Amino acid sequence: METLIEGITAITFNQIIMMLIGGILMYLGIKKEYEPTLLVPMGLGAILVNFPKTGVLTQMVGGTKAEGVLDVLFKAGITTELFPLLIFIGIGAMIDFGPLLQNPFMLLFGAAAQFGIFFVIIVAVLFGFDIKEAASIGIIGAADGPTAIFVSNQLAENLLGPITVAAYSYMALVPIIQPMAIKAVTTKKERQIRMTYKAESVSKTTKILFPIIVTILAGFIAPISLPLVGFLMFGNLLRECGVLDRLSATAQNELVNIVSILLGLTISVKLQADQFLNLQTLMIIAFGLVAFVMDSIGGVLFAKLLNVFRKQKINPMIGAAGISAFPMSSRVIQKMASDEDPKNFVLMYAVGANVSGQIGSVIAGGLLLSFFM
Amino acid sequence: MLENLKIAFELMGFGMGGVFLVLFIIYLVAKLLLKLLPAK
Repeated sequence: METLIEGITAITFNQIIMMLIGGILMYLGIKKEYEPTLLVPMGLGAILVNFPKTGVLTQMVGGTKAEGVLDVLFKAGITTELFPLLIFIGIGAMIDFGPLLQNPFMLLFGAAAQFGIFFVIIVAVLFGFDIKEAASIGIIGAADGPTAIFVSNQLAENLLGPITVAAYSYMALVPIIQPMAIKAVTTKKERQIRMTYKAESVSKTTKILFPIIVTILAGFIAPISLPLVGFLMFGNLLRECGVLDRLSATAQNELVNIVSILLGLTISVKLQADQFLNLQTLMIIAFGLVAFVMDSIGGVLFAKLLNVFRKQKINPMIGAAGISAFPMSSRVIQKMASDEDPKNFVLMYAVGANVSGQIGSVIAGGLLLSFFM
Repeated sequence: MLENLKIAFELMGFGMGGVFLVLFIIYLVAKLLLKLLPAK
């Protein structure tokens, strides 16, 4: 009888709280459809890892160490950085760099909208985090889950759980966060600026050469970002080369789906009550929001700065699309533009900036790592 | 903390400068590709 109720008596209050948090993650994923591919596995994972004395995590059984299945997966997929990198192949295969190549100028917004990363690093240091932890918290502002996992796993593995939860939660909340941030720093008149769509035509060869050249450039300029950039661009090459459609489809669907299942479940290793429930986690969640807001503000202010020197004005909201949350951010910008002026069509510019944000975020992640290595 | 703060500001200069530099080079490459390999 004692053995039967052992599971109930051994559980702690904090573990129950973590199970409730797991329930909230699943609710957000299933009911609200906020990043369900990650939040649902993470939610159930949070419940799994917080039951005491199960075989899910590594434990001592009869004096011998029994490897838990999630610990095995963690070592194989997160410690080695394998899962986030494999996801990048799929993301690369999903991205069409066409709108960016039609207006390469949009690349600069992908740089400006990384401002939140570095702003939050300063904030986190002011709140007492050491510099590597602060850099890991800042990378939430990359608005890119795999990059956040890749960087924080190397700089502050102890913070991986809250950083991942914050990164994916705020990515899902972009439609709420960005309009507020953008409206705070723009006037109605600025949001109504119309942009005539001019696009360069892009040849097939350009689309094939682009990922190859970006990979080579990253290798020379920011070598430590090469795993991220290289895998992203490899996925894109599968898409664009025209002879590997089957592989491209697999990368976009089966590969991403399988790795997302494993990644979501595995990350939950870091959602154990004793590691997650503390003041640091609350601060990280708060700083993540600041990072997303400052990314958007950085992009908008950069566009406004450019407008001082340009004859043909840019709608400053395009700057906010330079974050990596693709394609949600570009949709948000188009919706905001339509709300202000139903005949304003800025989507293609926003998509260009949004795609460049994907490149910008992986470069920023690589630069953070290279700063410390 | 002051030492960390100094590094954080350095990191901001290095990071933002680095991202702008890399993306500006990619911008130049994209322009060059569009010029050298126009669509038919």
